[in-house]
Amino acid sequence: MRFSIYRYNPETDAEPRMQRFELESVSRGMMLLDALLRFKEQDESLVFRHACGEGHCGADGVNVNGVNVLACTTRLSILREPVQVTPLPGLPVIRDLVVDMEAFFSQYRAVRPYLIADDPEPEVERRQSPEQRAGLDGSFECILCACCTTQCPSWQNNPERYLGPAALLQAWRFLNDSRDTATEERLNDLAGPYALFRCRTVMNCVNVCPKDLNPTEAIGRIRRLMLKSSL
Amino acid sequence: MMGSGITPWLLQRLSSVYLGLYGSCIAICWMGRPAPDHAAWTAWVGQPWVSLGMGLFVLALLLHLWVGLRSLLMDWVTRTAVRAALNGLLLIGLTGVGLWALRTLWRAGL
Amino acid sequence: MVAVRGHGKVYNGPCSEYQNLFMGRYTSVMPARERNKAHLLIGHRPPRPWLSAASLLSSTQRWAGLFLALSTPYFLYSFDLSLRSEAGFTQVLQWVQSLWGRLWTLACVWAFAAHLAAGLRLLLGDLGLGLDREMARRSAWAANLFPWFVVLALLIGWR
Repeated sequence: MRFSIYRYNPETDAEPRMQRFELESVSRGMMLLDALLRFKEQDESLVFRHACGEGHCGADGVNVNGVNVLACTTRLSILREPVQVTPLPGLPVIRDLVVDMEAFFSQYRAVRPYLIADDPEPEVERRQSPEQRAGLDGSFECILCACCTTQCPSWQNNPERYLGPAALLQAWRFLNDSRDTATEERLNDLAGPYALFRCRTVMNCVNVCPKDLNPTEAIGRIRRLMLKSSL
Repeated sequence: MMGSGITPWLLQRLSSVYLGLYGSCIAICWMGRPAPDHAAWTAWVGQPWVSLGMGLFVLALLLHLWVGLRSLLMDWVTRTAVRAALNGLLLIGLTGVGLWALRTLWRAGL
Repeated sequence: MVAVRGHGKVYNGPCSEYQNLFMGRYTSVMPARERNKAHLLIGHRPPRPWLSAASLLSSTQRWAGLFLALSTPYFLYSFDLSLRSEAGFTQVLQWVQSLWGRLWTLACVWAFAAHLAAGLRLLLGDLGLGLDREMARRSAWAANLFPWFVVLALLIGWR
């Protein structure tokens, strides 16, 4: 199986280049990460992030034939040859497939992804009914792999000012939390033409999310909540 | 409170509903009919429901154009100064179109 | 690995929606026609992947909207001229019924229908309808095809 992998070391290379790799034998159920690990045996200088290897940590997001995926959950058998593996688009390359995620995580931090509860602390704990808890399904599972955000054309157009699907999904996760009391402040943070309203419902985020989440729907819910609270 | 984000968005959605409904109504209204002569045409436009509806149509159209072109500029023009200048031109152009349409409809008997 | 911030190049991958991606779940086995179609290496950029229906629709809506916006003065001018005098009315009528006038009208109708269909889909989405992956894909295809049906109907009507 033929691969073409993005190589770039900013300290020594003037320009990035694509390096060819061959995989002799592909066994059933083999994932892209397995192939990358083989290539690292062939060429030790190849650098990529990976950790859990089973789609839980979100470390190995890469762009394969133009589509962002997690290397560890992408079966080789569905890929079209030559498989082009490049870093996540729109983020600075540190080396080879490793990108600087700072811009992405600062947007995540910007939505204050933690519970803000100003009401007096209860005796035991802040309780939720099973229904209230179920409302959080589909938003807390995000592993912050940045596949969605870096595939979003609106984010590519305004990477500094549009928060992107991943951060907005987390914004909704806390807006929708029955224990959170900072709804108004959170909505104020998202006001303005850029932070939330650059979403044009292209739904690339939904198409690429390795955890099958739906940031587009969350963004729509935030807009409706904002509408309700501003009327 | 959340002015610059939700207001244009809401205006865009509301104006789109009117534009879609009225535009489709006019299209269906004339579909299959033979072309009118000048007198019939001016008489048709002079009817209050047509000319008032068209006045509202122009208003909704201007709002819709403003929101749409503004977001297009936000996406495609990265330099703030250039974008501000283009936004200014857009507003001037839209005002011009609005006044022109008003004059036309006024003459037609709005 | 030490992060060298601001040192690395920004990798400009697929950036606008019409370059973006294809449909369906990538992590499952999919039929061959849904797989990535283009695989030619252009410089260091990734190949342009097959469009998703929704991303195609989104850019169609934007371009159709821009086209309609730019032709607003034309509509207004024709409307004004047709109301002003008998001669102006005949002039507009002759233009509309000429071959080029018809083609132009057809283009405008196509753009209006495309913009309308995509907008209708967005409005439904605002109400929370049809936002799951499968429904969004199907409705995007329907909205992509709609303007062509309208134009076809118009052509049949003219004959």
